[in-house]
Order: sequence, then C-alpha cells, then structure tokens
Amino acid sequence: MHTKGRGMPADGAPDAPSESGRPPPIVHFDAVSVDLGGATVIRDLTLTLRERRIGVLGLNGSGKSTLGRLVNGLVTPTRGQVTVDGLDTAREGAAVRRTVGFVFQAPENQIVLPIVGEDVALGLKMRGHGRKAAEAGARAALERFGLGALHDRSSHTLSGGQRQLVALAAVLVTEPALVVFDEPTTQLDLRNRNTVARAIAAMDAAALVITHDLPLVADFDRCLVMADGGLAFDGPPGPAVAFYRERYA
Amino acid sequence: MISLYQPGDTVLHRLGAGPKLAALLVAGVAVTLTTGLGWLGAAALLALAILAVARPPAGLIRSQAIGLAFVTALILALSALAGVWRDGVIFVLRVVALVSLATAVTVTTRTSAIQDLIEDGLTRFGPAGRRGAERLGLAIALVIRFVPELVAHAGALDEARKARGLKASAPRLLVPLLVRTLRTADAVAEALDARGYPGTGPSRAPVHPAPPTPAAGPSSPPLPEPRKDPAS
Repeated sequence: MHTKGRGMPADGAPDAPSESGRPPPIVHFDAVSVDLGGATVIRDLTLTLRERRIGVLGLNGSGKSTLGRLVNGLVTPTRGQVTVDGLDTAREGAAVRRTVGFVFQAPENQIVLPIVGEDVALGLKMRGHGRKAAEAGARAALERFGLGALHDRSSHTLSGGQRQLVALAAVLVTEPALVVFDEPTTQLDLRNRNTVARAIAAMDAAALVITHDLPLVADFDRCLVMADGGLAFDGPPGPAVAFYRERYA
Repeated sequence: MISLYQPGDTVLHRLGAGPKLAALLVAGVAVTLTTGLGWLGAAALLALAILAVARPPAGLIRSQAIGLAFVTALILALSALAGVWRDGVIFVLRVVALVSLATAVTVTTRTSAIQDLIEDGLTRFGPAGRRGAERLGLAIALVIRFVPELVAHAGALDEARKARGLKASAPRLLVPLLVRTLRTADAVAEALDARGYPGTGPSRAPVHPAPPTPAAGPSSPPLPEPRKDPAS
C-alpha cells in the first residue's frame, strides 16, 4: 500500500509538489501512427518521455487524447511501437496498465460501482487483493486524500469536482508509476479546478496531462503541442504556451 | 433501481448479507402462505419495527409511503366495491410487510456485499463459476450504478426538447437516449480496460477515441508547423 503520498485536501489548502518517489517510467514512441475510423489521427510520431510532469496541449482533434490512450494501451499503434519501461503496450497491455493509470475527462463513466468506497476498492481487488484488504486500502486512500466523508456516498450523488477527485483516488490507490489525465479540469468550477491542480502537483507518481488549461502546465517539466496528429512543439511550458497562443489564439 | 444503501451502525448493518436475504426469503414465503388477519397484522407491525431499526432516511420513507398509500388505497377501494374487502386487507398487509422488510435489507446492505454473496455462491462451481460470478457481480453493480445516470440523461434530453419547443415523441427521446447509452457503455468499457479489469484485451478500438470537449473550439489546422525544440 502506498503510504508516502501527500493528501488532496478537500478544503483546497495548497500542497507543495512532490520531489520524492520512484523515477518516472520511460515512455517511448517509435515511428507510431494510428488510423481510426478511416483517418490517421497520429502520424509517424517518435518521442521519448521521461519527465515527472508533462503537459500536452493542442486544438480539438489534434491527437492529444489518442496520444494519452497510446501510453496506457487503450489504443494500440497501427504502425510503430509504444513501450513503457520496455513493456510493449500492444502485447503487454495488462502489465502496462499496472504501471500507467488513466483519469478520464468524464469521471462519471470511470466510477463504475454504486458506492464510492466500493469503486476505489475495485482497483485493488482486480490486482488480487482480498476483500478485507481492498476495503481497508480504499478507506485509507480516501482518508489520505481528504475524501473520507465520501466513502459511503452513492457515486451518482457526487458533484463534478468530487467525481474527479474520487476517480483520481481510485487510480492512485493502485500505485501507478505514471497517471495520464485527459482534460482533468475541463468540466470543473474554479475551486474544484484548483483542488485537482493541487492534487496533480502533490502526486508522487509522474503525470502526463492533456489539457486546454494553460496555467495548469505552467510549472511542468516539459510541454508538447500537438497538431494534426504530430508534434508541433516540444519544450519547456513557457515557450510551449507562448507558441500555442501565438499559433492558435 | 438505485443503490439505497445508507451507512450506519445498527444491528441490521452489522448482520451479514446472507442471513438478511435468507430471512427476507423465509418471511416472504411465510407472509404469502398466511391468511389470518391477526397474524398478517402482527407481521406488518413487526416489519415496520424492523424497518425503524434500520433507520432509513425520512425522504426515502416519505417517497415509498406515498407510492404505497396510493396502491393500497386503490386495492382497498376496489376490493370493497367487489365485496371482498377481507382479501384487500390481506393484500395490503402483505405488501406493507414485504416492502418494509425489503427496504430494511436494501438500506442496510452494500451492493458489494450482495455481489460478494453471489460470487461466493457461484465460486463453488469451480473456475468457470468463479469467472461467471465475477462478471455477473460486476454486471449487477453496473446496472445499479448507471440506472440513475440514464434517468438523468433522459431528463436532460426531455429538457432540451422542451427548451426547443418541440412536441414530446418517443423517437425524439429514445433515439438520442440509445445513442448516448451506447456511448456511455463504450466509455465505461474503456474505463474498465484502463483500470485493468481482467479478461479484457490489450486494446479495444474505441467508438470515439478522442471525444471532443464540451466547449468545442476550432479544429486543427491542416498542416502543423515543423517541430521546434528550444532545448536542442
């Protein structure tokens, strides 16, 4: 059980970025193309990711979400290869998903069980933990993230921000080395957006954050700008955001 | 069908799902076979007392009581008109007893406890039973989880229809609801994949691999700028 992680305070108190924890996994894209629905959504992408915080910007339809799904193995390359710490996402998807967690844009679809505590425990049960251990782990994880009061709540009664935080807790309880976030703040009000941003900053796990929320990536280590299925810019967040604004605003 | 579980620490909460469901089954059979008004009256009062022990939320009791009052009043009126009032009273007492007991069980029993009970039962049939039990348990939980979401989707669609001044019609509601339900099912399957649900393949081809954001902006330009890397 993960015990080192900082909490996600429900009251929105600031929390410093974590410097500790495991080294980020190395994600390598080798001449990757993806065809979906008759269109090429990723074009001949070669890229290595090894930073702790990586942002991905780009217009709608630029290939950002597909890039994230490639890392988790939810989408596999039509051509080329994606590896995570040497694991091929196409052939070793189950092992990859033990390393890479995924938080979806619509957390209401990610929380699949009726009670919050049950849903957080599900990830542990699927990794072979016994019922008692999974339940104890879920309760501890929710407490750690400041969400203990939600343990017995019906999932469908959560607010948008609570859903996003519960979805994140359900992923982090399984201790992934890397979490992919697909537009985590898109549907949130300012307070919940800030809480989620602090939660991401406080994680021990590495993060790949696909977003339109430009301030969110300001402190990141690296930022990619996607366009038309390829990489339009790759560098520090400041210049990346400036490039994005100049090119697409 | 939604999860009515309410957290608590009553004696019914502490009782296992198996004994509660077994007791509900026995009580159901007994109440159905009994025809004595005195016995049925006592059973109904006992069931109401058990429900009180479960401490259900007032709102839930109010909504169930309204529905139950309507049905029982209708049955009593019809049975009185037909000259079989005794049968009407028997029916009403049975309904009150069974609904109260069923509510007491659902309010004090987690979905996961019922799911575990089913899984334990089917696991006795070997590895095939275990696999089937896991899938059945998850399927039941998914139904309970997503029925309220589908109801909310239907409400939103109906609201949108009213906002556009359109007349109500089944196709106008059902077609978009079906599409939305299928999209939700796809998203849930993808989420289960992402969380490592066993038995799923390394990848499914998603119906909508990159869902657009609600605040849809312009699409990508046809040709990207060459890659720049200021660090290099």
